[in-house]
Amino acid sequence: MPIDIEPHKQVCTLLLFVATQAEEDALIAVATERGIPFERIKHPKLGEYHWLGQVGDETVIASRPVRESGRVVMGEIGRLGSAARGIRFSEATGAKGIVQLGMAFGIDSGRQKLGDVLVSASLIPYDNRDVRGSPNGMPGYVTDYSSATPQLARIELVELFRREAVRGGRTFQVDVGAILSGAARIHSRAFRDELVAGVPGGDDPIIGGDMEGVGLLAASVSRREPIWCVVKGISDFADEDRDAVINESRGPACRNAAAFVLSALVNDRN
Amino acid sequence: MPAVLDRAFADPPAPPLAHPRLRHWAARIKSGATAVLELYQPATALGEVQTDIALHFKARDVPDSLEVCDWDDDLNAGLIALRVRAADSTSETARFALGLRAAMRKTTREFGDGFFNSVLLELVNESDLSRHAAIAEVVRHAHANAPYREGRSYDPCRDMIADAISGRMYELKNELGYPPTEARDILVSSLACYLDERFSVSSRKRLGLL
Repeated sequence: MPIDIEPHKQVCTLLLFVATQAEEDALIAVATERGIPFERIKHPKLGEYHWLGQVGDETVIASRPVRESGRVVMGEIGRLGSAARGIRFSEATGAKGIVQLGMAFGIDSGRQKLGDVLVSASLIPYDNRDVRGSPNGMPGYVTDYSSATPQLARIELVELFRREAVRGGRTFQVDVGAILSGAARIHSRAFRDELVAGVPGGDDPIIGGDMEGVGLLAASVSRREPIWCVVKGISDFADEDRDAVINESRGPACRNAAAFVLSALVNDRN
Repeated sequence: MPAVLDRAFADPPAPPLAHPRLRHWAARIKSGATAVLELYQPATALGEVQTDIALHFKARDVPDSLEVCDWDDDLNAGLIALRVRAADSTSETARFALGLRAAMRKTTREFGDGFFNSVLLELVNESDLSRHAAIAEVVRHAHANAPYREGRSYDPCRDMIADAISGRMYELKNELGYPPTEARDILVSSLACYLDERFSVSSRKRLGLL
C-alpha cells in the first residue's frame, strides 16, 4: 500500500531525537519562536514524527517521545529504546546525523550550573564494566571500568556545535567533552564520582552524563563513521538533591539545548 | 657533502609506501607475482557493516596465496598505485564506490551533510551522468534542498566534489590502465552505488518505503 506522505517529507539529513515530553515541548516552543515549521506526520511504519524541513543547510526530522501503555519509554534498551529507534529512523530517512536532544546531569556544581549545555565529543558507555568480588576474601565488590572506552561522536556535528559555541551571546555556558551514558537514573554523588574517577580517560574531559546517548552507538554502521551527537542541558547533578531541583530545572535545560541546536543550524549557513 | 634536507629539496626520493602491508605486497609484485583484489561484503539486514579486502596472489600464473584484511582507504589507494585491479567488474565497482566515499569524506566534514548533499545532487543532475540508468534510478528517489549559492562555500564544495570524482577516473584510466569506455562504465556504476548509499535508496526500498 503506497504511503500517503509527500516523499520529501520522509527523508532528512539530520534527526533530532527527544525522549521525554518536556524535551519535545521545549523543542516545539523554541522552533515556533524562530518561525521554524513543526508539522506532525503520522507514518505507517515509523510512527509519529515532526517535519521541520530545511533548517540552515540541513533537512530536519524530529522524533516524538515513544509511549507504551500511555507511559513515555526512556533509556536506550528495548524495542522502543534509543538504540532501536536510532537504527530504524536513520535507515528509513537516510539521515546522516542524529542529535539526541534534552536533559543531562552535570558533574561539577562548582563550575557548571543548571541550564548549561553539554555537547558530546565522545560518549563513555559506563555499563560496559566488570564487577568482581573484593580481593583477599574481603566483603563487597570492586568495579572495573576499563572496558568503558570512549566512543567518538560524529565529527561534522561536533564541529558544527563548536562553531556555534564560540559565537556567544547566550546566558548559558556550553561545554564540549565526554558524556557518561548508561541505564542508571543516578541520585548519588558517590556513584557519580565513582564513575567519573573510574572510567578510562580519553582526550576529552568528562562533562556530564545521560541515559539515551549510549543507544545511538548502535545506529552507526561502523565505529569509524559515527552518526550521532548528544546535546543536552544540565537539569541536575545526579546527586542527593536531584529530585528537589529537577522539576524546576528540566524546562530551562531542555529549552537551552533546543535553542542551541537550532541556532547552530541556522547560523552555520554556508 | 650536501646536507640531508638540501639533498631532499634537490632530488627528493620516491616516498616509501607507508603501510607495512603495502611494502610487503609491493615487494612480492616486484619479484614477479601478480595480484588481483576481491571485496567481500556480507550483506546484513541493516546494510553492510564490514568490508574485507582479499588479495589473490599468483606466481607464474599459479595461485599462490590469499591475504585477507579489513578494508582500509589507504591500503586501497596503495593497491591502486601498485596497479592492482579487481578480479571482476563487481569488485571494481564496489571498490571505487568506497573510494568515492573516502574521497568525499573531507568535503562532507567541511561543509556538512545537508549542504554536501545539495551540491552533489545538483552536480549530478546537471551532467550527462544523470542519463545513465543506474544513476537515474537512484536520483529519482534522492531528495535534497537547493544549494545555497550566495555564500563562500558553494564554489569550493562543487570543486571538491568534482575533484573527488575526476580523481577516481584518473585512477581507473592512468593507474589501472582501463580503456576509457570501460573506465567510464566502472565509474558510473560506482557513483550509482555511492549515491545509493548516500541517499539510502536501497535501504528505504528494503524497508518497503519506496
